Amino acid sequence: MTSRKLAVFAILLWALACLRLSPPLASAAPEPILIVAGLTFPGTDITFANLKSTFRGQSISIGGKHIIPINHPLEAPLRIAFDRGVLGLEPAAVGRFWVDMRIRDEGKPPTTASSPELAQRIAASLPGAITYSAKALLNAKLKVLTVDGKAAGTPGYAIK
Amino acid sequence: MEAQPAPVPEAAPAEEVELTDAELAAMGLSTEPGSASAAVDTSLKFSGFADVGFISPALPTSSEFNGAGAVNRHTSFYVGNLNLYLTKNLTSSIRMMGEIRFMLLPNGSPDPDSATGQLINTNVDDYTDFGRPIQWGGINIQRLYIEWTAYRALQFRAGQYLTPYGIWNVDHGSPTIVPVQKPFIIGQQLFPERQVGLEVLGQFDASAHNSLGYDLTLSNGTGPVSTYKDFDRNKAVTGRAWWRFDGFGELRIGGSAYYGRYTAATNTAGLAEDGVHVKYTEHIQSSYDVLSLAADLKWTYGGLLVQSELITQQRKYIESARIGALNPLLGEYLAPNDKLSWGAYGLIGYRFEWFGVMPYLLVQRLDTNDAVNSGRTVTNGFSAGLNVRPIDALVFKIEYDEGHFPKGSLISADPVRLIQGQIAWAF
Repeated sequence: MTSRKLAVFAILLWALACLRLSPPLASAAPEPILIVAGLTFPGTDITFANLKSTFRGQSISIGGKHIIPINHPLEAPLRIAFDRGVLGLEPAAVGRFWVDMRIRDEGKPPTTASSPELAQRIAASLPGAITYSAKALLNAKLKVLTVDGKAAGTPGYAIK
Repeated sequence: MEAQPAPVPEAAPAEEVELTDAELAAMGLSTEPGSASAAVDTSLKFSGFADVGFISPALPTSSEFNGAGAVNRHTSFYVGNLNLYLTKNLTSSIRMMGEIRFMLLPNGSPDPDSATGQLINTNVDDYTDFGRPIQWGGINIQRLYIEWTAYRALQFRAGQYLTPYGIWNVDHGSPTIVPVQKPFIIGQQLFPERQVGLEVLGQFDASAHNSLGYDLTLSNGTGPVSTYKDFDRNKAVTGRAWWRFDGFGELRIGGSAYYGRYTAATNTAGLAEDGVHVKYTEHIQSSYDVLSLAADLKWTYGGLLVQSELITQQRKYIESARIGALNPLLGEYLAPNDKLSWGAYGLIGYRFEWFGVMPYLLVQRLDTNDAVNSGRTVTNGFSAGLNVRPIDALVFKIEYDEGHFPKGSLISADPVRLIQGQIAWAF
């Protein structure tokens, strides 16, 4: 009986230790993906459909200006989240998707910047360029666009 | 709906964030005057795909199918497609696309002028190698068009294009297509695989997750030299409409129609009635109207792929052009009959993340009815295989195919069984 109590006590201690050693559970919602463009970008909003289509290689114009999508590197966390949330593509499917699109002649992938920071700088410098960003990467040469009229982080924001 | 205000960046870093024109140009991006030309890469791009494979009959030695048509008696390795793409943007809205297939053919294919089944031999002496023999091959222009994108919803193409119907014909390349073998309804070209003429196409978004698209074509239709000559006045028309919903995986449903006239003819020179001039007389060898209708569905959800196409084709001869020939197998003169063909296939597969492995299963049927003597040919088939795509541009396929003829066939009522393998890659 004593040994059983000891065993239960040991298990409780082990469980308590595990709880203490485990990293605290993330309680905050993930940071929303911001859609950003240079200051000359026409307007302050883009529809989710246009955003998706331009990053799928379709020719999209807004306010008479041709939109130029700029991607982050394939392995960048924000790129993975963007491909998943906007294009519905898991990381393993992204390359296959673009190879297949090229064989069908249905579109070519957007320009990929070598770093998220460079993607922001291109968006800031090239009229019509658009990319996505984390809040920490923003600068004064960029403006954050609403998507379907919703600001990032507000209820109904289209990019999950 | 009024747009909510966008958040304002908190702070700008001290360093310069804007890139110079030279820096942008180094990345293939440009801010040249005239916003229409900004960011256009006008270089000529080469890409394409290729494949090699093997085909092995899984037939008893007594099977009548041994050596029949494409069913070789022995396992054979082969070089399949070598398709080179050439693309170039001429401006921000005008581009060209060409696709050339390099082939080993016609070497080894049956000689149509031979009654004894001789094969075409392209052996020639190679003057760069002391006249030693070398076999020449051919090229096939698969696509060549110039495209103008006025808007996303309004694009124009002129030239030779893949007929915009269904899924398989547009997927087109062996790395993109899951199985090794085409379904019967695609291989039998119930719709023409490609056409020469004009194409108008476009797509637009109906909502965040719903898109609609269309294709309209006007072409020479089909014929022995339809790539550059039409032997009748009837231009062929194709129409297609599709709907894509990407709110739950991606679902695409489409419908297509084709109407055109096939005509084969020759023009022979002779002396005109006045005995002075030369007069060309047209001799129609064959002519019939074709109406093809198709429906297609493709749904992907994660690794799951479900794909199906249903196609019908009605073929009705022009009476004055219902010209028969001596059937070498039956030894009888046979005139062609009007036909109704229909068929379908269903493909299901699941791609695992582990090495990109996708097991798949394809079931299919082709049913052809002869309108005059009620003859009917039915072919049922199924294929099971593995498609392994360890990297994006490289695919390994191994497949077992079985075909059944419940109404018999000209050769035998026995089933046909094949094992095929393929390595396909994009470059």
